Amino acid sequence: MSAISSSLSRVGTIAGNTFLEAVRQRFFIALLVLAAGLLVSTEFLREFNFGASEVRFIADIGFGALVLFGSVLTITVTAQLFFAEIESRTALTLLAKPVRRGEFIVGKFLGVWLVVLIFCVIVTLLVCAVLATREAEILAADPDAGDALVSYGAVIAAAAVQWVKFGVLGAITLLLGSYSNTNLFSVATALLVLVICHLQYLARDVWERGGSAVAQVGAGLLGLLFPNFQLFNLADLVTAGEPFGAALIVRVTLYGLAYIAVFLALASFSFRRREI
Amino acid sequence: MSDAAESSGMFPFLRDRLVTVAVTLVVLTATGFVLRPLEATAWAEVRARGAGIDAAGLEGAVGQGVVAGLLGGFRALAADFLWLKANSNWEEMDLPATQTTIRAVTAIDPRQLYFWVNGARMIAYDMPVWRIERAGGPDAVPASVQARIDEEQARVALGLLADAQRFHADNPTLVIEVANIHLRRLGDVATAAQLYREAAELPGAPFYAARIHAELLRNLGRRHEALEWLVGVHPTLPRDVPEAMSGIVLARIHELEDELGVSAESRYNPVAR
Repeated sequence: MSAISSSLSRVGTIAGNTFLEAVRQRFFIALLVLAAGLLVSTEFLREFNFGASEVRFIADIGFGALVLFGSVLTITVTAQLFFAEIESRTALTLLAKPVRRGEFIVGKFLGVWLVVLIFCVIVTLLVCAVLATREAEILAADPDAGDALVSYGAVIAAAAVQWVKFGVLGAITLLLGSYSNTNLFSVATALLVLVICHLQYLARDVWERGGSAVAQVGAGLLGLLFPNFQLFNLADLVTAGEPFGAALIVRVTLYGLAYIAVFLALASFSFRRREI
Repeated sequence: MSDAAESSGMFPFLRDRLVTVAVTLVVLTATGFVLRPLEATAWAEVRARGAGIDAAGLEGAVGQGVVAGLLGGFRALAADFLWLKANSNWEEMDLPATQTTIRAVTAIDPRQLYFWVNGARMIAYDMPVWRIERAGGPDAVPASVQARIDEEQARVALGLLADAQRFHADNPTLVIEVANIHLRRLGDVATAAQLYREAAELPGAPFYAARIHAELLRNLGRRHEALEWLVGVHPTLPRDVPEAMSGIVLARIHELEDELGVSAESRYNPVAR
């Protein structure tokens, strides 16, 4: 029992230090400012809106900012902080102490995930504020529009699911970092994996529709090897009439958490004999 | 050579790397298998609500810088910018480009009826005119060829609207759009009449759908059916809503009764009901 608690304590210490290092970075602030700027600019981008209702358009831009900048933040900060420890040799000092490599990986992951949580909370609050402002204007101008145009519970749930996805992305970046030798390679490969994970369902469509045997095998493998990131895009459903149920959120969250556990285990396995 | 490599640690290094890659692939494949039932249930629900893109429509989006946007969300914004591109193509009367961008817009954001309806209108009503103009104009092109072009474009538009109905089941606006294409481009009044009836019976249907159904039945010479339909519809029309045109429907009923020679005691009397 004391072994577990001391292990958790070591993980917590590494996570805490990683978190502090990450929030001190200008990059974090810069991405936060960019996301906030994009959200505020919805006032002007509304002029380009043809099809969507205004609140749906604002929600789309808000979640777009969250997903885009959140993904960039997760990949870059994870890779940067992981390699910073190796390049500055602090990892060597740390791992010379009774710290397991798996604990180092999990600590790094939790630190970054906490930073991404802060980012998600701030951007989601901004999205809710912009939505609430516009909703109040619309309802004041047209009392027949109804009582509420947005389900803020659904907005928060959709953002929470995105945070779980960022967790999967962070764990993937750690796996790539544990295998590769450079920060740049890890970032570039993680971005590529992000694209594949977002579009893997298209490969599965090809698989299900048939086609050549080679294409089917390739598409089937892609669908198995990479998690389906499009599943986490509940933001598309936030203003889609009927709200999504808690069962869907639970399923998607479990799916994400299972992948986080698997990628962290693989990262620890890959890191076990790496020369530092 | 091999001794040198082994002594330098290259083989253990390569072996370790290969083992790591193999274990990663096996574990991820197994995870994919294990999580497939959980994922499939959730994905079916998410996709049925319009998330994700239709692969068939993606061709038009490639090269437009839209796919990158889709990865980071911005679906509505990406579709809006591509819709501008579709309109620019439409102004240039570039048929393949317009058709492709319409497909791409609806693939990216199938949630918006606006894109489906207006895209179908461009294809069904504008594109036949372009094609006929390009073939020499309405005076030079034989009527049979013009009819064929009309039908070809109408079929493309109907295909688009059929796809729209996968995302917007039981939407009266789409059913009315299909009915209009049957009526105006294919000259199929009977199908249009049937579709107007289907639209009128859907929740949220505009009041005019019921009136047009009766009018088309009248044009088809099925006046008894038209009268019966309007007599059924009239009591459901609110009198305080101008668009319901309750008075006009009543006048139509009386016109039909006159045409059909309905006896005074059998005539429709809303007060008596």
